[in-house]
Amino acid sequence: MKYIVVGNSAAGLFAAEAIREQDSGAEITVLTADSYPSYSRCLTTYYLAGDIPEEGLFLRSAETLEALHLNIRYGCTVTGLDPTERVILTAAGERVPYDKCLIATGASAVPLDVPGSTLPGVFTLRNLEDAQRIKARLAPGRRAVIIGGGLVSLKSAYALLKQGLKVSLIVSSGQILSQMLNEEAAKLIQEHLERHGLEIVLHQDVAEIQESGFRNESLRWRLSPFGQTQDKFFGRTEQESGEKIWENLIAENEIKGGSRIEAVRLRNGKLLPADLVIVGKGVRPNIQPFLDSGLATRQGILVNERLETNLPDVYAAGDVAEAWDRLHQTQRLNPIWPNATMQGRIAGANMAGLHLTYPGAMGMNSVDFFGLRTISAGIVRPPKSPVSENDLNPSSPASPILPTSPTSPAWRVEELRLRDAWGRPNYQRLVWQGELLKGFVLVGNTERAGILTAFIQYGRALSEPVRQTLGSGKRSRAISLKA
Amino acid sequence: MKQLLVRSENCVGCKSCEVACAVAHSQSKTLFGAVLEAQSPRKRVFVETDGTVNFPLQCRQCSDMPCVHACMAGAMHREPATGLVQVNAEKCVGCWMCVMVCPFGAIGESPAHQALKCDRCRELDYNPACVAACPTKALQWVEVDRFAAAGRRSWVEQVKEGNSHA
Repeated sequence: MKYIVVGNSAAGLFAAEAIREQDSGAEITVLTADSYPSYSRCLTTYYLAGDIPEEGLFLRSAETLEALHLNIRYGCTVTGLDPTERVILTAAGERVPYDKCLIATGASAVPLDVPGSTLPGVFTLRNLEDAQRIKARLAPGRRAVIIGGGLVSLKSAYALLKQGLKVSLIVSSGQILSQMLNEEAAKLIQEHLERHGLEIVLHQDVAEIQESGFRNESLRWRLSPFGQTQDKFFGRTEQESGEKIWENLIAENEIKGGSRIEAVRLRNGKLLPADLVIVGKGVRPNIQPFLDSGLATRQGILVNERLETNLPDVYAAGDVAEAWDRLHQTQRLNPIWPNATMQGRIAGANMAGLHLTYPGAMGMNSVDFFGLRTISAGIVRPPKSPVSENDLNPSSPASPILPTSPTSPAWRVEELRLRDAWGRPNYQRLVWQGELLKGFVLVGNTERAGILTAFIQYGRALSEPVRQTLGSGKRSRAISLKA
Repeated sequence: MKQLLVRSENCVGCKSCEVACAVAHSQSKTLFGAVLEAQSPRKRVFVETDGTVNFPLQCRQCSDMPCVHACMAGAMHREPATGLVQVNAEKCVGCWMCVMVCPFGAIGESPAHQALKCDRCRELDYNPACVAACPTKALQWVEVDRFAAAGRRSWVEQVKEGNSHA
């Protein structure tokens, strides 16, 4: 049996491991555009922060990978799939045959579309190569502007703050982490980060990224009386001044690696000086190579409960796939690590002949900024928030459309606002639909998070005593479902 | 393979297991030494109670391993040799994704800000200290078959007792 796995990140690696577990003799080929063994994209910000060395990014040791007996082809860009001939097409013009194929090509960072966004010094953070390039520019005291208020942006901002940079974060909406948190929780994190020196600008967009005035400054000097005197002193001729100097400077500059950015101009006209810009405007699935292969796609590749696509023997998993979402009750993108690994494992096992059903993804995330921990999962904003005044704020992003019918039970939000002895926040928000737990946000003390996640996944009505125990925020792990 | 199993009806909530756990994971491996250590050792078993039922809870070694799947550092892994889910302290970055998905809330934090959970006393050659310390045999390190057999015997005994009172 010939297995082809396209992509070697979370979903690809876990799928290859699952196939190997089921089929010790299988021929497993991994095609990847990457040039490194499987590494964790989520850890790139830890690498930027200096918390871990580059080697710390790699998911498996060389021995572990060796033992899997994978035929991994690095630097191999896949350009298409032919379902009738059952081959994968590569940029090098090869036709790689498969019996079973997994598409785990992941997602790419969405670039920023403003003047200056392609200048050197403007980055997105998705790959190890991105992280290496950014890291080479880090030095204490430098100024960084980070565009976007999502998790990658915030984690990047945190990393750069730890490296001693002066960091500004520009957010279009009225809160940070709007995918992950409600406004009140986001505000707690924002205050905490601001106390640690992060400048956060809400309700603002970037109009332009401006180039360095280096050329202009140099030219101005050369053409000034001081510069002219200097030219005379060094015996420079007329041809060497003026236009000639300008051209030389451009050439010189390009040899040094091009121009540099200097500032970010906001919509409101304000200029923020910047040596470095990181754009965190989300990701989109890498489906382009498969658009004319007959694969059913929306934003991502649609898969069923076995993680099969509409094409026979072709599976998809991870950030590229739109798999079942257990809370939204539809196929949906859920580009987070745990969903990718779980989908990879199940797709891999099914490719190798098992019949596993994917129980469904759900959104969840965990962050720790300067010791303040936050974990959220599920639906953090009810569709029509009848309770929390925060969600009536027109500035908060629109809630996702959730299945509701006139008969479905009402949504309810239950919040606990505490502070510990040092004044640090300890916040809990539970989102209920009738007797079902649908989501939570914990800031500060997060040790109950896993239990709450399990209750969301449990997906059945919880009794009054259980609901009370959860709502009280008590630590007890001894919650009996029968209580 | 031996499992760490619990007879919650025997647990009186004395927390001897918690102390033994912390000591077993200290540098000195003695109670007095552990108390004096600069980094006080942390327990990985938690005696929970709802007022009537006591339960000494620690990592249950789930077969579906949600913590392994959630770990974005490749630190949480199943050891091929023992089949146990363990934390690789060289890889853990303290992102708490495992805490986010552990259905038992059994993962804590080490002084080095890394995930900390029951390792079945790896350093003591897999002889869990909590089991040795438990005065009522609520915690047992046994093969599942033996545990089940003991459970059946106790059930038969209860039936006999019930009959003799009838």
